[in-house]
This record gives sequence, C-alpha cells and structure tokens, in this order.
Amino acid sequence: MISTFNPFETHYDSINDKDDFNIGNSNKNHTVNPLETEAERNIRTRTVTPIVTGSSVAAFVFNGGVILAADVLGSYGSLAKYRNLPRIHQVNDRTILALGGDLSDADYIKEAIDAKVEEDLVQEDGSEMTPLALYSWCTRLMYHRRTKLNPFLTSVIVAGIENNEPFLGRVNDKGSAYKEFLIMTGIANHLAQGWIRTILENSNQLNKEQAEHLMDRIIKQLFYRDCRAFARYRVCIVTKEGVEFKAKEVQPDWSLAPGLHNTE
Amino acid sequence: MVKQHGWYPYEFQSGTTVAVAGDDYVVVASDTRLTENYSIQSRTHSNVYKMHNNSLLLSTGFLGDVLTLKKTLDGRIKTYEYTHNKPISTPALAQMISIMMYGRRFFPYYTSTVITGLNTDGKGCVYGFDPVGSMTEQLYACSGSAMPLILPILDANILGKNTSKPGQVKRTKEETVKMIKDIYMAACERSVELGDAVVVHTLTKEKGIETDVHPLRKD
Amino acid sequence: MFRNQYDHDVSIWSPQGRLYQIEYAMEAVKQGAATVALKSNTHVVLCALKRAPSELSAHQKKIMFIDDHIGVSIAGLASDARILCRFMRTECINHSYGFEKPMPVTRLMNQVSNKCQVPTQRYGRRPFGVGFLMAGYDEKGTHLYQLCPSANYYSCKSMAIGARSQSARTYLEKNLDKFATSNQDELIKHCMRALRDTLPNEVELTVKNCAVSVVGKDTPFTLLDDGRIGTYLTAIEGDERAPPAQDDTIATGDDDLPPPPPPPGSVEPRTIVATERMES
Repeated sequence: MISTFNPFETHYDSINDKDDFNIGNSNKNHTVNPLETEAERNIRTRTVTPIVTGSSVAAFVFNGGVILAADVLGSYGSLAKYRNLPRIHQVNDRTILALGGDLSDADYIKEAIDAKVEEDLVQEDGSEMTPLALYSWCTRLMYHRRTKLNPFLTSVIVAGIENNEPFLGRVNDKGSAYKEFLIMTGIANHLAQGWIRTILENSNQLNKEQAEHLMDRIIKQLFYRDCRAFARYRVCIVTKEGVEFKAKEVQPDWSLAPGLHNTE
Repeated sequence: MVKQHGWYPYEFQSGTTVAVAGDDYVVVASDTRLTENYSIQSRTHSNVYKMHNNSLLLSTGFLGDVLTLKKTLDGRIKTYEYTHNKPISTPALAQMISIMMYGRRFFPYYTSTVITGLNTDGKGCVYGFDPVGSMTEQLYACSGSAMPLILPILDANILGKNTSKPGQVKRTKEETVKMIKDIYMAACERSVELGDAVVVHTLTKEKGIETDVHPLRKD
Repeated sequence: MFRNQYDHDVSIWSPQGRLYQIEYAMEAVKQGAATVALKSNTHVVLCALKRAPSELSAHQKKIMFIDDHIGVSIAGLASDARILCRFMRTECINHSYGFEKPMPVTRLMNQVSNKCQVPTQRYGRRPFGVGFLMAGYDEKGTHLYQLCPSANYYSCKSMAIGARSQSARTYLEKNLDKFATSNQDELIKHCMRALRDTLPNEVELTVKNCAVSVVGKDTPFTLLDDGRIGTYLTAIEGDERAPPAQDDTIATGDDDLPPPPPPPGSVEPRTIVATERMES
C-alpha cells in the first residue's frame, strides 16, 4: 500500500543487500514492509523499461500563472493503444500534477498522491498540499525508489500557485529535481524547448491568452514531428483564480507537406 | 525509435563551483547552468546551498544525491544545535559530512562536495570531499563539470604552481572575487556545460554572506 | 498506599467513569511553576516563572525551542517535557525534510497529543506528567494551544497553567478583548502582568525568575535576553497588581480536584460493594 509510504523513516534510503541483490529469488527472512513487492525483492522482476508510455509534457510560467499541456495517448510501443488517457491531474485548487513516461508508474504515483491528499483531508486542520510541498514530497518518493533500484520510470511535473506566485518544478525518475519557468519532457525537450525558451526570455511575460496560443503552437509542432504524439490533448491553466482544464484537438495543415522533400 | 538502454541509478548534471579561503573571508562561486544530456534545463540553478549555521555547501554531480545530502544535512545541523546548544562549527560539519558520505560507501552519493565557512577566529576554511567521504582541508577547491579547466588556473594563481614564480599569493577579498569572475568568464568559453551566470558569495565575520551575480555567455 | 481502589493503573475506570491516574497527572501540572501565553493577530507571547530548586542551583528551563516558528512553555515534570520536546523537534525536522516547509502548528499539536494519548490507555504505563502551552506562527496565522496530560488539547486566545495560575487567568479574562490588536510590546507586557499576578505578594518578578519568548509574523521564535526582559519589567513596575485569587493555592491546586480520600475506616461507596458482590 503506497499510502503508507513514509519518506521520514530513517533507514528508508539505505540499501538492504538481502533484499536488493537477491538474485536467487529466495523468499526466506524477509520482513515485508509496505513497499516491498515481489519486484522489490527480486531484481529480475523489476521494470526497467517503460511499457505503456505517454509522450511529452510541456509547461511554462506566464504572467500570473502556469500553463501545462499533454496529449491523451497511452502508447504501447508504436501502437496507439489507449486513446483517452489524460496525464494532467488536479490535486487541489492551486496544485497540478502532470506525468510523462511510463503511465503505469504514473498511475501509481497519482494514487499515492491521492492517498496523501486524503490523509491531509481527514486531519481536518485545514492544511493542504501546496505545489512546493508536493514537489518536495515527489523528490523523496522518486529518489527513494531509485535508491531501491526499483524506479518509477516517470517524469513528474508539479505546477501551481505557491504564496501567490506561479510555481513550476520537475522531478525525474532518479530523483533529480529543479524548479524552472519552462519545463519540457520527452521529445518536446528537443523539439520545443529551444525556441520556446527564446520566446519566453525575450518577451516581457505573456498574458494568459498569449500563453494559451503559444501552447497550442507547441502541441501542433509536436504533433507534426513526434511519432508518438496524438491530436487530442488537454491544456491546464492554473492561476490565483483557480484551475481551468480544456480538451482540445490539433487542427493540422498538411498542405505544406508536399513542399518538403523528406515528407513525400 | 529511441534505443532502449538499461536503467542506471546515476546521472550527472552540470555545475561548477569554486571556493577560495582567505585570512578573514571565504569566497565561493557557482555557475547557474543546469544541463541534462546537452540540453539546458535551467539557467538559474545555483549549486551553493546556505546552511543553517552560515556554512556554505557546494555540491555538484548527481542532483538527486545533492538534494538528498543537503536535506539530510539540514536536519542533522538542527539536531546538533538542539543537543549541543550551539550552532555546529564548519570543521565539525565537515567531519559530519564525511561520516554521512562514508555511510553510503557501497552506494555512494555521487557528488563532488565542498563545505566552506569561517572558523571560530573568523578565518576562512574549505573542506573538499570525494564521493565516499574522504576529506581534506584545502586553501581552495573546485568541483564539478569544468573542474579540469579551472583547477590548474587556481593552482597557478593562488600557489604559483607550475609557474616561473612559485609561492603563495595573498589576495584581498575583492581581488579574489575578481579573479574568480575572470576564471568563470574564461572557462565558459571552453566548456559547453558552464555558462549563463556566475553567483559569487563572500562570507566574512563582519558582513555575513554577500551575494553578487555576474552574467556569462548563454550559448 | 492508595488514595482509592480505582487508581492502581491508568487502565482502570472508577464506577463514576473517571480515570484517577490521569487526574493525578493533571495535578502534576498544577504543581509546576506558572506559565502564561497569549496571542494577537500577528504574535504569540509565552511567559513563564522559573523556580530555582535550591539556593545552589540555577533556575529551571521553562520555555523550549521547537523550531523557528514554534516553541512551548511547560508546567509539570520537566523530564517528561524534554521527551515531548525532542519528539516535536524531530517531527518538525522530518516535515521540513519531506515538504520543504515548516510544520503546520495544528498538525504538530495533533501529533504530540496522539503520542500523549497512548500511555493514558495502556496498562502499566503512566501519562506524561506535563502540560504545556504551544505558541506558533504558520501560513494560517498565530496559534496558541494548551496540552494536558490527559492528551486533550485546546486552542486558546490566551491561557495560563501551573501553580496559582487562576490569578493569571482572571487577568487574561479581564483583558481578553485587548489582545487581538495589541502590538508585540503591549502583548509582552500583558503577559508579564498576568504572570506577576500569580506570585505571592512578597515575591517580585525579576530578570532571574522570568522567561519570555515571542514568535510571530516576521519574528522567528526567540527567547528574550535579560536586557529586554528587564526593560519590560521596568515598564510594568508601577502597574497595579491584582489581589491573589482566593480559590487558588499550591496545596489544593485549582479547578476540579478528584474527591478527597475517604476517611480511614469509612464505608466504601455503594457501587464498589455491588461490584465486589458480583465477583464473589
């Protein structure tokens, strides 16, 4: 049960040789703690390659908020298997979670966070998860699993409003984490990061409409070039006023294709 | 199709730090570029961490380990304050880091760490560590991706090593700051992983920590 | 030597539905030196009377630092308080480790109260013999809590616990509506005046026997040094002292005492006899 994950246990990121290098799959002498699944006891059953994957997530900060976008496709290798799998989730009215990479792990992380939110709720003391707190907690979770050599092969993006300021941060599968005004994961990191960074660094803070327009351009670009991209996507805008989700679809214009030599 | 690699628990982010101890100061610097596989992820990520006892922690390498090391240290520093009723001194903190890092001898924190601060007399001190916690007190230290470029310059400038005029050169705080900025400007011409800006912190007994940001080339 | 038949252990109920061991633990708090706390919209002040067990020893430590935004002032068994204090400090450190944010005060209070509850329900254990006032400031504003050995906790605007604290509470009740908008200086003075009211007439509040701390907006938890305490002591010097409250002495404690022990040789209450008859 992930809900019992406690990043504060003193021994939590130490390696227990018996557990983590148990090549012979022996089952004796294991104290099963909540996170110890068969995969964690036996190195051969750990997933080290993603199975069902989500492609890029794009996110950036604009004047007064954060905008995120990701398509709704779950790919199974090159098969477009799950065609309505949203990857941007609302945690509360100021915190957003977006996931890319292995979607089974993403699901698991989402459930872990839901359990955490529920735990906060039943305390009835009014304190809620904030973007920074969630980001920090995710770094502990991801680092914990990488240290057990049983990683979540997922890239986690946390966005929202922290102390009335936009917040955007990312944690990767190894527990490395940084906060930045522009975050692109997956192939968007190569296709969009550069030119979007140029636009954002040279513009004096976009407003909400400009941000949304720019995001549509990013997704369109990705749809043209990324084989694992999908036309239907979700945009999420979080501002002080709240969270807004939009389901959209890329309207591609292939008329320019014949003019390009390598698309014939 | 992207080639499927085996998964490896380490990765390396860029970042270069320099620390120089003086008689009544410490100057530390870090560039602010954060890269992952040749793509720039942040232009504002400093590798200098202010600790609760006014020591400065410089740590580069695997960012996940850096963050964990820093957070664990934060807790340990507070615990020390509660049990001893005084802030931890920088030499004691260095020893603590060494023990913590050796505790992970067989799954190391893959970081190149330097801790700096002032000793009780206000004299600057710099301690460098290898990934498994081996510790040395140094006059100056450099860690991170552009270390091979910068360390020989520090050898020559500070100790006069490999020059026609050997011997230590004493510098004032201002001269040291200027030297470090020059070195970063030079190094960012030759390293793709170094750039964007250099943050220079000077730590003195009188003025505490002063911070100065100097822009570098962004390409 | 027992006071009555039902106080052998915390896990024994009295037929009246009381747990004597817990009530005795509450008495321990009433014997500790008094401590007063009050809060405004921006600050919380703790103020405590420090006793010196003998001429040869230093004054006790009453106010404990928990984290940069939380502190407690204790009354009762100081050694028990140290254990709780260590627990709370660890909780705060762990919270910062996990969430990069200071521990919410309410959450900490809940945790420590849960910890205190355990030995009130297990045989062979004893409740913590300490009560405290917790002052804290977080994103929800100022907080002041009172914790009892019974593991109950109360959110307060102002509160006083410990020996002869009834007089301080009288002062606090009289001035309650002034606190919310008071500034830090006024708050500290109110707190010290309330504490002074707990003293017998011949005893004065001095720099030696008084501890003051403050926490609030842009103010990390700090214990005031002797110089600052002295300044405030001078400031309240001329002010009128309340007459000591009648119902409040160290010997009898304050509010709801357990019933006095039955005189020797007297008949046991009827309910007890009934129980014994059923058993035989």
